[in-house]
Amino acid sequence: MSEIVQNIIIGVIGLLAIAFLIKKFIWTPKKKKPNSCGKDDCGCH
Amino acid sequence: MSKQINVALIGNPNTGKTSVFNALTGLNQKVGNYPGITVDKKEGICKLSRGVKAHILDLPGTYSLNASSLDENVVIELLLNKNDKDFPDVAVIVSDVENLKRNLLLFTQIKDLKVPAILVINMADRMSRKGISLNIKLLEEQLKTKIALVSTRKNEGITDLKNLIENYKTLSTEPCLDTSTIDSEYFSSLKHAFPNQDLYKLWVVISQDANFGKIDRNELDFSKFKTKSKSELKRLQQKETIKRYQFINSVLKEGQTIDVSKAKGFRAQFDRVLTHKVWGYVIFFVILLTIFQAIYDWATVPMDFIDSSFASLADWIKTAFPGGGKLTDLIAEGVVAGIGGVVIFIPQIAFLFLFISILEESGYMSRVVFLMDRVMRRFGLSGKSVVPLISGTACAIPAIMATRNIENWKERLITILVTPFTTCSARLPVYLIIIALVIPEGRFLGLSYQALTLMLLYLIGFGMAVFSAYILDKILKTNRKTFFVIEMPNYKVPLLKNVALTVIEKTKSFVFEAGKIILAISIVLWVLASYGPGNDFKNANTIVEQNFPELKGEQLDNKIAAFKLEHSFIGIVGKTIEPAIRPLGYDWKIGIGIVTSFAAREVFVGTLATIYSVGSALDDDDKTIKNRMAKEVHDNGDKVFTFASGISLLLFYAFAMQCMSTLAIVKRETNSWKWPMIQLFGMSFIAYIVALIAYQILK
Repeated sequence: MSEIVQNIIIGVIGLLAIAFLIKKFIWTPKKKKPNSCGKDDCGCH
Repeated sequence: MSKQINVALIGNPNTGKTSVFNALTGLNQKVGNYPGITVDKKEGICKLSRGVKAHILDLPGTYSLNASSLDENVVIELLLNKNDKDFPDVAVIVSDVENLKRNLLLFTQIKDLKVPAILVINMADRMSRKGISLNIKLLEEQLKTKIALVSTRKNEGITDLKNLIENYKTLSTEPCLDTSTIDSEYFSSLKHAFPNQDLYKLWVVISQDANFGKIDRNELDFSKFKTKSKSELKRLQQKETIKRYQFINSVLKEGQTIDVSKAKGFRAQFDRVLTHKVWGYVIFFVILLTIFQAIYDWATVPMDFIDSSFASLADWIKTAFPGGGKLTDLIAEGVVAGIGGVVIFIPQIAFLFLFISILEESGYMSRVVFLMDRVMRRFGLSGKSVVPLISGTACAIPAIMATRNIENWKERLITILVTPFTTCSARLPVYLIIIALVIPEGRFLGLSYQALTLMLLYLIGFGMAVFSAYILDKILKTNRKTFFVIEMPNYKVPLLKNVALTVIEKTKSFVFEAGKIILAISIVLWVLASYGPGNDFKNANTIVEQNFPELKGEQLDNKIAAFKLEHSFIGIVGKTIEPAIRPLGYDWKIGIGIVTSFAAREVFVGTLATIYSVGSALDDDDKTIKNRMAKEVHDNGDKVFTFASGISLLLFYAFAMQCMSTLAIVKRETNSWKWPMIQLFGMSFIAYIVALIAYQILK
């Protein structure tokens, strides 16, 4: 397999890994905020 | 045509609700004695006769419909929201035969919501031992329901329960208590203001302390109705509870008889010792020491085996595909190393959860929580914080999730924030290699200096967690006092099946959740270490060959790899941060290790293994990572890993917040980036300062 093809495949794998991490940690679908944190005014929202 | 019945499994903690769930569905699910062990909705399918299926939802344990924790809200929200897709056709309320009186409070509340309800009286096998007899027919009449007498331990009564679920339409929805008798004046005006609403549902919504995510109290138009103050509502809640207990007492007076003379058990004697103010702690710490010793003794062999297996696999891939180029390198050094970095922790995690599960199953964990509450409360923590802090020695992720059953938000938040200080298993490889490098061999009172250092690092981690909790308790303000109430479940011989299921579930969760993240990070790191900008990286071969003409073969390859690493993207990052970490005694290579460790600590050893496997000539002694690191020198010829820099590095790793997965979990649990960011920068700042002071004093 030529080096260029290998580099492209590696680039794609790397981007997929980054995309997975972004999806996992940063980009999460917006949900309605649950205002139920217990009895006190927790300030978590 | 098949039909599905929605069933909600509800009950007080420790009634064996999850065992009933397992018996009905056959699904793998955790069963434990520790209060509130079920923190998420769990669901399963139970096949009934004639093609009918029951969709069973195992809800968190709750004592009443007056929510005080996140877990309890789940139950109330579901029961109040008819539009929820999981809204039950029938509620199965599980009670424990020994605590029927207390368990019936929740039952009567659910019954009054006019949801068809079945009462399961579980642990029926204990009746004869405890001298309990029940008049089921009479109880059914008085409680206006159907009762299933069940023993999940002996697998009895499950068929009866399935039949009752199938025939749920025949169940009465008549309430147990006339709600208006709580306060006739208040409830009549409430009925007048909201004529179309069910009175008890309305009362449950109004009287809750917490708001709901799905049901908004503000949607009710209160302009026509003047509600009461918080304290007045509380008083009415208490009145409701008293009325319910009066009803329950009258029912049980006729339906239940207890012959105390027939009751047998050693519970009181056990409790006296296990919760004793001196012996209780001694026994607990002896148990803890035994667990840790066993984890290290038993986990070492499989861990070494896994380590060497993955190293052999990586070697084999490189040998089998010699002309594979960079793609082969990615698989061998990125993917295989990444998977190996996950799998190696399986033995420790499995052993730790084996012990924790046995302690929970036996009923001992609740005694520990009670015992530790006395100590923890002084530092702003709860007795329930002990479980996360202990679990944190395996991994902070499940530990932080285990804080969900701490009712008080402040105590829960503090526990979440300080848990990452406890020494997790990912720190262990870092500690072991640095200790082996910088702590001399020798013994003190029969214990090796290296073992003592390791123990000291565990104590420092726990001490820092408690100390930080104390500080946070002073900083975070809340105007609410909390009271600690805990139920002491009966002692039981742990069921092997339940223990095994817990170990499998926890290990699977680590491998498939944390594992995917570590694998992705390993791939990204490998790419960043294998590519670089500019001509230095591109022409590395030519530059090294010109500058070191005397090098040949493996030595030349190593030098080229070292040069490339230095000029790779990750090398540039390491060089950039070098001025900031120099005062701590580290060079740029350690800097790379630290940067990558912010993804996950366990990446550190792998990163150093790559970095230090390159460079100077290798003879047979240099093949181990430890020896290569020991020979590493600064430009001026001084050793990189000295006692001072080693201690500095150990302390840095003891305090720094280096785990992206933990930060993500903290974000999820606190619903905000504020707290994980405070954790990241706060802990890392402490780590930097402590490491700096240690190095400057010791150098």
